Amino acid sequence: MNLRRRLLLVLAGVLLATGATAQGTFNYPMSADPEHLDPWRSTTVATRRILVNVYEGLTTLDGRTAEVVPALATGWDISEDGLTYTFHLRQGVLFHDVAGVTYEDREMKAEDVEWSFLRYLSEDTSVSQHPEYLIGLQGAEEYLAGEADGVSGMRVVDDYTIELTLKAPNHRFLMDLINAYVVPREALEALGPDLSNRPVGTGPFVFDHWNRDDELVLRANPEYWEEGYPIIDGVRFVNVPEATTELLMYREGDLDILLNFPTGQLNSLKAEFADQYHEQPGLNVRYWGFKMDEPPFADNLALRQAFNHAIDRELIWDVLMEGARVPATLGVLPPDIPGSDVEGYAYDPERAKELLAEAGYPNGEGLEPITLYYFATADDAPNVAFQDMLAQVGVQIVLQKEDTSTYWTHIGEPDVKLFLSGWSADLADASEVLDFLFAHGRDDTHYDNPEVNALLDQARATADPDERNAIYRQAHELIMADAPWIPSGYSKISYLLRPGVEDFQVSAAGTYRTPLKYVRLP
Amino acid sequence: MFQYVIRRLLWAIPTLLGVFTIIFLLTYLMPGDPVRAVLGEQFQRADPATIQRIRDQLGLDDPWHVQYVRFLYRSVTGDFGRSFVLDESVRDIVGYRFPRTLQLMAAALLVAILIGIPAGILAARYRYTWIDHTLMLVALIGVAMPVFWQAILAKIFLTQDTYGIALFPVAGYGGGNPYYMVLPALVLGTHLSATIARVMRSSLLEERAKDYTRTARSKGLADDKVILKHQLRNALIPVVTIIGLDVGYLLGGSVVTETVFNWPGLGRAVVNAISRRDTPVIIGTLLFGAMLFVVVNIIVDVVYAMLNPQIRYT
Repeated sequence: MNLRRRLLLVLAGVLLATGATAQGTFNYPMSADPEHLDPWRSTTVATRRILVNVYEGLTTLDGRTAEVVPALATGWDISEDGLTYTFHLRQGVLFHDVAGVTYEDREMKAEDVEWSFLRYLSEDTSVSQHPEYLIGLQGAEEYLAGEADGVSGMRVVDDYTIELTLKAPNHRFLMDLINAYVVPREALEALGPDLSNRPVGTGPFVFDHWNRDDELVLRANPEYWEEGYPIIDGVRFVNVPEATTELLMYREGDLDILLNFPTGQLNSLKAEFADQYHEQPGLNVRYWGFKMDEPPFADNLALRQAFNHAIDRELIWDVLMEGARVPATLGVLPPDIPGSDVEGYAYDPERAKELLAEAGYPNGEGLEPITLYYFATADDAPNVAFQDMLAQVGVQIVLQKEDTSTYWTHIGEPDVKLFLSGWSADLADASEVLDFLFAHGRDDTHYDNPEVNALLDQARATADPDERNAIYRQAHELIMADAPWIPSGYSKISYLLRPGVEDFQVSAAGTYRTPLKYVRLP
Repeated sequence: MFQYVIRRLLWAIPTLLGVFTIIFLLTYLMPGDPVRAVLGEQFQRADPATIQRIRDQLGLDDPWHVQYVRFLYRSVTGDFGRSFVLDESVRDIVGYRFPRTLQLMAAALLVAILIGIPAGILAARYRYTWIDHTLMLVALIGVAMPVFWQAILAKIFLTQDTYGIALFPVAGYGGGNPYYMVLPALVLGTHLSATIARVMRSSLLEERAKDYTRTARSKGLADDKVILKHQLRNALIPVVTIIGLDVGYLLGGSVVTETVFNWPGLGRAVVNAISRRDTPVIIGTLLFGAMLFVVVNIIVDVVYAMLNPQIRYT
């Protein structure tokens, strides 16, 4: 035992002797600081990891299942036409009591919801970057454009009831509300722009301090509405930019969880920390994309299918990459998402050769070498394997690795025909992938199939989940038949958790969504 | 001397203007899009109208000369504007992080000087003996070993009970507790001390071959006295040059040290800004670094004159 730990033990002993109930602080690594802590502009995982503990919306995600569950609303009624949502608010919820903010009424009420939501509908991107959460409300576009004083589809019924009316049915609405936080008006008035550095909400943790590039500390909210929670005294987010340092800190007990494994050490750490290693499927899919509107892949389905059959995904992810991902043997949706159960392209080099001939390039003859672009932070091995596997059917691939920021703007350009990309769904719903990537050419592949677009529009307006997922599955099959991607691997969420830590709830949505209020330290 | 310093400071103006222009053009021509960094993982979720509004509000679509003049005006007035991505002004970014980098730099320089100069003197004094050979071999290894590798070794042996002894914290700023600074300063400083030791040795050897040394020796002065009283001052001039240049190296080399030791310094902020294409921060921090370098160089020249009264500036 080292000196520091001995001192800590003595300190703990003193605390116990004085009768303090010390659950302690949960030490949580973050590979980068949040950009800011502004609820209306929260976009990155780094920002959301913090905000989900300080702010709450009407709905939230269940920590284990990633399903939409009530948060500041206790429940809601949906009108028969699927347009009007009546939210019943939780009573007795108090905004954080912090220095410098004085409240007329510290209880969260429908008026606060209305005020917070209206602020999302701002054209000024320094105020809000998420008008899309609420733009579907009746009158929202007019309000955004400054043509109306209020949003006709938003009505405060009484202190604890708010009614939101959509222009068209949209099953995603409750999901979008997860990130639409309720913020006290008084806090913005008192703190001004500083609110984006010192968040004030209703959540289980109260912001304490933030030393940039160093640490960000939250402490338990003693007045939190959910009886008995949070259990821990606070959370200390420690900025650890480098994975080896994270591992050494975890070994020394400076961190309670390890999220980034140093490259090439996954298997050895799995063995060493067998009792602390956890793993489960995630919602990210990595893929190689074809530029659908550029030769040689435009209008050449057989060529795209040939590529798909040439890749041995199992060899890549199970063997080369030590199981870092699940081989993408299905389609474009990670397996936890309903509608993902379509048939993928099996590894079949013979079939690939046949298709290549069908595409007009027997044994790859006549096909110019194709450049595969990939980003600097991606592993080389899968891409080198990709090159080799295609060489075996006669296709020459040139690998081109680019600095990540350059990369993401470059792949949209016409000179890129083949590229590596990835996508994270926020929750286990097919719309999370299909709506953002396959509707109306939004993906960098520029895939645009009117039939798929129509199905996606239809699914969005379908209230019944089974019926909706059947439509998504149908769209998914059409997409797979068009083969705009070579799906590569589905993510796994892997982490080490200090022995004795309980109720660190992880869903497929990822560790950044873990509700830390339930965490119990040994 | 005073006039000299003033003249040098005036000369710094065109230098900095040149530096500004180069930084601006490089940043402008660099492929990549700051809006990607602003929206992060949500980039593809955001509707095109929002993306365009962000672009307009950051002035990213303005022609290059408009942006050039805007950034130049801001730089001249000392208000470098706000970061595109972070909710901080460039002044706050520098104001918060530079003192932390400076702390680390100062501690590392101290380590480097305390190790490098005595090691160089010893090596020269006992030239071609085992002392010289050992010291220079160690220095060679020190120069050749990359900082991040040194850092990893130091961490494995000095912060972990499993492999060595847990003497120091693995990483972090520790709220300014100097204890946290020891390891990063040692790593950064020992790396520098290797260069200093080698320059010190060769410079001292050169002095030892000069006529005034022979004169001093022939007066009957002991060798140690000759070194300390006569040779050292002259031999230090190239060493001071090296130390001056090392300040520049420290600004760059501290990026790696800051990253491996979770040190909240300026180097990391610069690297993050570059990868985010955060133009105001890139310009502000790099220009600040250039200014610092100019000032340090003036100081170095003044120190020359103090070390060698023969050097006169007019």
